[in-house]
Amino acid sequence: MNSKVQEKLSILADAAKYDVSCASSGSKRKNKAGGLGNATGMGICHTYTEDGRCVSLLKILLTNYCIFDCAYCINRKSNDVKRAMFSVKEVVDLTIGFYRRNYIEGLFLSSGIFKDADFTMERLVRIARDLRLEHNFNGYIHLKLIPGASDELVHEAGLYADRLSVNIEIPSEKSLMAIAPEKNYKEVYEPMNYLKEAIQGYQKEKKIVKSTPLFAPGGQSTQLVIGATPENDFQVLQLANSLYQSQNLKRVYYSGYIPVSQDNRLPAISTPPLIRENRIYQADWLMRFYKFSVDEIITKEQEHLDLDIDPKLAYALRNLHLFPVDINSAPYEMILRVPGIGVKSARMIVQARRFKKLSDVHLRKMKMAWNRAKHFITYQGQKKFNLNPQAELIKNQILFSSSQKSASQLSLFR
Amino acid sequence: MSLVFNSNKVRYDGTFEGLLSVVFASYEYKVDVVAIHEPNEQMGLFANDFWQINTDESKAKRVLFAIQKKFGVKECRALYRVFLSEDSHRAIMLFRYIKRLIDHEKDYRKAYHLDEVIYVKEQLKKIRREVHRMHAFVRFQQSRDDLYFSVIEPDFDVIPFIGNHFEKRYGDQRWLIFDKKRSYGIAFDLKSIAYFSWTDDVFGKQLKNILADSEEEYASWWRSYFSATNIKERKNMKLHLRHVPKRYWKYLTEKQEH
Repeated sequence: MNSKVQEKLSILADAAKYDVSCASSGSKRKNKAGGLGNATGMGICHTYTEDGRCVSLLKILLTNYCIFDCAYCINRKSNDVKRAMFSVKEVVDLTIGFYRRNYIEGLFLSSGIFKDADFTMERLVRIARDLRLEHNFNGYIHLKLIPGASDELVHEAGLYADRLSVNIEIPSEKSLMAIAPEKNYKEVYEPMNYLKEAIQGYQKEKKIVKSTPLFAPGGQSTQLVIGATPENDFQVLQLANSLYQSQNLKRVYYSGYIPVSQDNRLPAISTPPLIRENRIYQADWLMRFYKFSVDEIITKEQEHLDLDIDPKLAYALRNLHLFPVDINSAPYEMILRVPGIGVKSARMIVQARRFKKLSDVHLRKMKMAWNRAKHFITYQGQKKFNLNPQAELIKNQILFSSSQKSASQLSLFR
Repeated sequence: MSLVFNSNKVRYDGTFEGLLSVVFASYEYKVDVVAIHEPNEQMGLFANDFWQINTDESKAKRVLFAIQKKFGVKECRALYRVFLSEDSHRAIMLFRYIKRLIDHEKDYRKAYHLDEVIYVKEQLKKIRREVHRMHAFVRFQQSRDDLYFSVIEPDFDVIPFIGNHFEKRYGDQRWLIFDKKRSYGIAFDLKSIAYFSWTDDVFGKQLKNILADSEEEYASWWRSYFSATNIKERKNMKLHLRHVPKRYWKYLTEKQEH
């Protein structure tokens, strides 16, 4: 028993790890009397792998057998890898055993497609149902929707899971069909649309009838693979923006393509595009937390985000006419746009300035990235400000000062 | 005891009530306190040049009540948290902070141009981070009689703040968390949480004898999972260590040798 489970776990965790979603937050599921688990409040990363990624959920595939042959995927039919399959009971026991020991916040279950979409989806749903109904488990469950699964199964999944996701993976349908001949956007968007409607329906009903059951309280997310196909950052971010705006997604994850295939339809790269992935995440942050519109971050002409500097600094350098910002009088939204000032320090500034006109002495104590911010602000008692600032000059100064600190941009993020 | 009234350097007994008594005394005698010494602090040359302030529970309560009336019991709890930070500046900084809160009509908790306000905010953040770390890094081991137990050595004294979280999620199992550094812990018996203290690491000595049969199995499955879910092509040890500093590895199941 032991060594068999161990081997399955190794194979099916390895096969699931390219799905980067790790969130365990945003649900509202409370523990019930005599039950196990609680999925309210903030997410918890119980540990981090050596690649620096959060481990919050037991992230596994039910099986890595797959009838599809998507070139970008390690589990494609034609790939020569060891295959395995968990039983329902094994997944349930692992989830509960790990949860009781405080290793995890819950389960993230996905699967290769065996037989057909509904057959696979039904198994995933059965595991979630067992955990909820048989074992009174109220921890976090993230289920992957299998493209092409029926509405009934998607609906049932929503009743047991905290979050659901269906991965778009390839950021344009043309590219998707070139490297994943059995897939198309229709089968991805159908369950996504169904879920969007269902989630909104349940939320409306909940406002009137308090006993309305939870339905995917953590919302839905998706993933885009970066660098496996020729789409540029403009296309990726436009797509992400439309997913946030019209599909109401909670999160879009980006996964730098890791070469898992020698297929000649894919680029021959040796290392994943980590810096590019990082810049796209930063742009995503600007859209979600900094009130930037996608057009302010990137235009069609630019094609790609600047790899040297983050997109917020790039925005400021392109729009020097909007700066410097007066710390003591500018509105919050504008202070939030200053490179080096984050959401927290922007709030501190707005609150503190009601007591006293702020000078650099105060600002430096608020833990902002002073070496960046100082180029874009004015404050009380400021000695001089460059009246004719030049983007190139500021960029070089900032790059120089941050290279001296040797803090790599990459590790500062995520 | 309190013979010298004219000094603006004081010593207290190292308790939270003691510190609140210092606040009270500073109003009572109109003294602007500039230094607050801990009871065990080496005083050096000017050993006599301080004012020993006795702890007076009723006076301490009056200070606390003044804060509670203005800002609610939550603020009082926050102050107590900062006090438990064990930081060497906590006494004087809290003293200055509390006086600000009491002296001004306006809500000074957000006056971030002041050192003491930033200090309190940062200490709270540090403690919150440590509490969050313990929510994440506690690893239970199952004993033969179905007790899930865990040993921790947190940077701050956070045991008083973590019980609620575990009670909510593990309401159906008996568990226990022991802070080895501070020799005490909390235990949940399916009904309520109780504090206990041990001078000895009981588990360390007889660990092998008390573990449930399946415990090592789950631990080794977890280690397999931990290594299988890592992507080697993305290795970034600097980031890994920032999130999981080495001092916590001692009690992390995934960091133990097979």
